[in-house]
Amino acid sequence: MNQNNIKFRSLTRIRSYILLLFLIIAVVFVLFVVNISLGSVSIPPVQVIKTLAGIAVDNISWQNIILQFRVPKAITAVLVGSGLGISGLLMQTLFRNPLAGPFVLGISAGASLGVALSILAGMWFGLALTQSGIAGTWALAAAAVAGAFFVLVIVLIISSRIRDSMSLLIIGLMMGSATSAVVSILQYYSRAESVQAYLIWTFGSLGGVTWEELEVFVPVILTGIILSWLITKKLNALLLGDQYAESLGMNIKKARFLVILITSVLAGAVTAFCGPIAFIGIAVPHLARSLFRSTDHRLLLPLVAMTGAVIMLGCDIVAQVPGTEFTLPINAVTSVIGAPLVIWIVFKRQDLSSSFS
Amino acid sequence: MQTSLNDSIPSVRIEYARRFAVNRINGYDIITVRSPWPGSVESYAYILKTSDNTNPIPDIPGAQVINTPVRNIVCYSTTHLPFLEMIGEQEKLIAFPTTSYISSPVFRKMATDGRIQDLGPTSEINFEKLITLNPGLVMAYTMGNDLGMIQKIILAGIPLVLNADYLENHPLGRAEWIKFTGLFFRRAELADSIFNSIRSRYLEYSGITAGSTDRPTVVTGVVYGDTWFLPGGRNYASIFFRDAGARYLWEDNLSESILQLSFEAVYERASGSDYWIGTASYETRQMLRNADSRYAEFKPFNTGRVYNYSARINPEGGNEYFEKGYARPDLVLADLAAIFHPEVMKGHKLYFYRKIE
Repeated sequence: MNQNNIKFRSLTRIRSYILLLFLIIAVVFVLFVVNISLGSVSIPPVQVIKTLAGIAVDNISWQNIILQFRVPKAITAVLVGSGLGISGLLMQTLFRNPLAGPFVLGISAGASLGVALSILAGMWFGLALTQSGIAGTWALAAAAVAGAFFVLVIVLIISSRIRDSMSLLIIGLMMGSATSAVVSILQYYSRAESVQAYLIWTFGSLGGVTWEELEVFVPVILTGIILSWLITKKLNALLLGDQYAESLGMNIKKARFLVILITSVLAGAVTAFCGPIAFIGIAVPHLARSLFRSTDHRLLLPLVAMTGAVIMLGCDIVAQVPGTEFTLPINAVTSVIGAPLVIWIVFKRQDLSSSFS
Repeated sequence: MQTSLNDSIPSVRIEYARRFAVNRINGYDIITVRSPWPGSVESYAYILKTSDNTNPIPDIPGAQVINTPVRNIVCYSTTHLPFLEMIGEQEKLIAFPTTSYISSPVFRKMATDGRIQDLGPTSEINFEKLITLNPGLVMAYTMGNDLGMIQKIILAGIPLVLNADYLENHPLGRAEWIKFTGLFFRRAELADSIFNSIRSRYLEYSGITAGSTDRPTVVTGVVYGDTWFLPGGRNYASIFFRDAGARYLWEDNLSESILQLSFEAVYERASGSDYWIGTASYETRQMLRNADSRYAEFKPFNTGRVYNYSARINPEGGNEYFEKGYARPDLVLADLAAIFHPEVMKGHKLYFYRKIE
């Protein structure tokens, strides 16, 4: 049996893990600074460092660009990468399926439905939000959370009734299809401008998150990450199969409930603030496992969080097309980078399912 | 014998419009519409037949023969409608896709009275209803994605002409399409004189502002996702700003279409601009600030020089600016000139624009 208990690991293996983790954390820091240094507007690196160090620079416009635009965006990239990476890991473990991602339960489809209702059928749904005092980005975030929560409640109710995780996967996929169909109907009957606004939301956006929104976004993602750290033992047991986990005396339904709840918080918050970011959730856990082979979530979790941050910061640098005034939609970049990455890992590893048995 | 349009002489003088021309052969007016959708190379010829002309109809391959004056008409775009009203043929409109988008009180009344049929969403015209109505003319526009449906309507024996007003880069070029509409109703002279008076007023206002030495800077649009959409320097909107005596901050750009820039690129160039014109769906400064707190860093936000084209929005969300703005560039220009140069446009009451409070 391939049950890797940390106690029996050789010391060198642990040492190489710690070294790897520190290396990746160092890469996160480097990319964070590079990310802030590059953008549509060219700002000399000295000025960037001065601004970050809190020293006043000559050009107030540059200082504002760095502090009001680039730093919040870089922080958002780290949160999105870590949050989606971890929720992808949780789903892959819950379903013991390498193709699972944060959105298999229909969370992003639910969020899309909420946003579609708000933008496309905006007259009645959006109006209620506007009148309740939440408008603009907050309205979209609130609509996304409402939609994701709606789907989540249904999935949770179903999950408490059924024993088999695989059935849950199918139900999640069906929920996704059903909500997408409703979104299509809404699009069909909407004005071109509204459809355009909705489509732009689906492209994803890291730059729309300001300091104000980070005050909400940071604690939510941190809570999700801490909660997932607290259930790593349960995750290790789940990976061995429902029956095995039960034989260890674990309440499988309760564990499943927790995993789904944490995933929803992480993926739901990311989708609410940044739109449905594609591929990161599926690709990052595989990439982390290819860097360090393990089935122990106490080792995987920090690695996935940091790898996610690296990938997202990197994707955002590409999306800025440094040196030009133009940008690419972040989703196009994550998909273009994410899809070949997964293919490459599959080729390299040959057998992905070995991590799930 | 085949006739070449090149041998004929223009019968209607076209000054600003680039996408259509009118020639006369054997006493028949022949309208040629060039490149009627973005990226198209096709051109379409329409031979306007009259009952009093007994000459042989010119043999032009692919040309449609249309009996004029047309007994009634179906239009696809709200921008086609003001011309009907201006030449006094409003009663001839018998159907429109999604009548709730119409702003004009005249046509709204006709729609409520059941005199204008609703053909469903523009993306999917109700073909059977259209065929049953058997209109004398369908005035359509296309983005190139529904050519199959257009072909089907022509094959069903219904005369259909393509209107390309939305591709004209000069404001007066769009207004000049009144001549196109006028020809089908045999109202060419009336259309010509209406256009001439619009042109004189337009040139009068641009002449007044040209005398002003002060050219305030202007920025336009808002961020969607991570992208700020702005008209290129050769775009319709840019020409309006120039003629209204303002310096559009991207006027040196050579693009005729829409630029997609990053927020920081726009911030760097335009945060100190004098005016901000066109804030899409944001109607108050509070809404702008809620959507993105960084909007509040723009100078016009704090000096109160923010205006939107939303003074006339009907209860169902249709904006009169998008309907009538093409036909009445003189009204748009008068508004803009009064915003930028209140000293020379004394007493002008804004028509399409309103100040964002």
